[in-house]
Amino acid sequence: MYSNVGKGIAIVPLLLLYSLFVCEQVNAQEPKTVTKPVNKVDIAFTALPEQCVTLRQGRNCFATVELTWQSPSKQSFCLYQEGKNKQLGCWQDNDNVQVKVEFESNKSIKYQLRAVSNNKIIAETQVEVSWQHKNTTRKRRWRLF
Amino acid sequence: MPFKKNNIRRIHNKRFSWLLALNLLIFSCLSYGQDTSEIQVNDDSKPVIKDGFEWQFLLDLSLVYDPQIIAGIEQNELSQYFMPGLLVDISYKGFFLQTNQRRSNALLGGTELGYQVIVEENWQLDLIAKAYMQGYDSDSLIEYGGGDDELLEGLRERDATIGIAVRYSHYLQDALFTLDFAYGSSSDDVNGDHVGGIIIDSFYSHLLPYKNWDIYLGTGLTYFSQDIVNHYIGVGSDEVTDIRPAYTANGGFRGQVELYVQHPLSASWSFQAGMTHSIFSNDVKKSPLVDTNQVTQVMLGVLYVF
Repeated sequence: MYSNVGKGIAIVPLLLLYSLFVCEQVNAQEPKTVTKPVNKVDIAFTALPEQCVTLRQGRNCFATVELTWQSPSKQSFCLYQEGKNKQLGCWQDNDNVQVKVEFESNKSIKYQLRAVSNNKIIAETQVEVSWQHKNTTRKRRWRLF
Repeated sequence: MPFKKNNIRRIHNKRFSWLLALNLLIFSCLSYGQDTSEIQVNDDSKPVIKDGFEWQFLLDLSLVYDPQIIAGIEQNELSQYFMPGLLVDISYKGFFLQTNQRRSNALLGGTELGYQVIVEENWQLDLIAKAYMQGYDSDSLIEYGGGDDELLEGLRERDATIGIAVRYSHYLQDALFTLDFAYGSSSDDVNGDHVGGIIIDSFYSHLLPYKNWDIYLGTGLTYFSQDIVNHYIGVGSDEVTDIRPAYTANGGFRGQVELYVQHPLSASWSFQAGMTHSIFSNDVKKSPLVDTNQVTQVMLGVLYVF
């Protein structure tokens, strides 16, 4: 019935679309790192993805975020979410840690590494929440065909 | 009974021309608009908040399986499945121009122009103008879908039906019900008489959010008066052939159920997929131009948000 698929007219825009999408994904995946020097030692602390996108403004965004930090020397840190006192975990004498956290928020969240010894913030990274559509109370277009 | 044809042909339909002109006229004053809400005071001194200046454009790149109830019309080529569309949503001082969010519909085929008359917390009354049914002509149908030449050739061109309607919208938690009372107007019939009639269109849509997914379940019921249905699937005396007897259609209904899902892929792109099953009154099968009273439309693609 739909045998004549030889014409590739639709392929061109699909390839263009794929290219645009890949470019955007690559840009979105570049980790944003915030480091603070600790005893003249830099710690690379990153979150991937760094951005969580939800469809509507104000909606909770869900993602599994991988937090990674690397230190030139072994140190002891605790991981915190900014504004909360409960630690997400602590690591003793480590210089390379990867941990996954379940992200659920309608606002951007900062994660902090704090020194075990004095609770001082050593490094921060952030997962930003963005949205595609404004959350209007008048949702008029809820129909497909 | 949305008889759709080649997207490119839609712009040629003169019925859309005045809709386009009206849109441009109304929105030509938007140059200095800002993102605000218009607060008006009604007779009871109760504030009524109408939409201020807001806009959003979306590029819809979707593949659409879009079968017709007209006999023999099928999508034969891959390119016919690709139905890009620019979805527009603009509002200003209570006026709005909007395209069905998830309808892959090039140009103005799915666009509604409206004015918010009454805006309350849970309900709203609008005046709108939109195309309730797409037109068709036999030549383009045969060219587009490989239709039965003998059955369809020589039919008068059916223009789109443009309706002026009063729309009642009721907002619930994550749900919307709309009811349109419309007067639809199309081209003249074989006797030169104006074709016009009542259309009553209702739709209920419920949003089920799941993580980053939006899942919409919808159902609708639409009534088309006899004049409207007959204009599209009736066979006039000037169209009678050996295999195409004269036929006068009755008014009829269309029931719809719909499932639609959307998921963000990145800051600007989202994935979308949907399916709508439509059932028309059984009577439509009596028309020699129609071979089924049920169609299932399927859409799969991506949206780019500007």
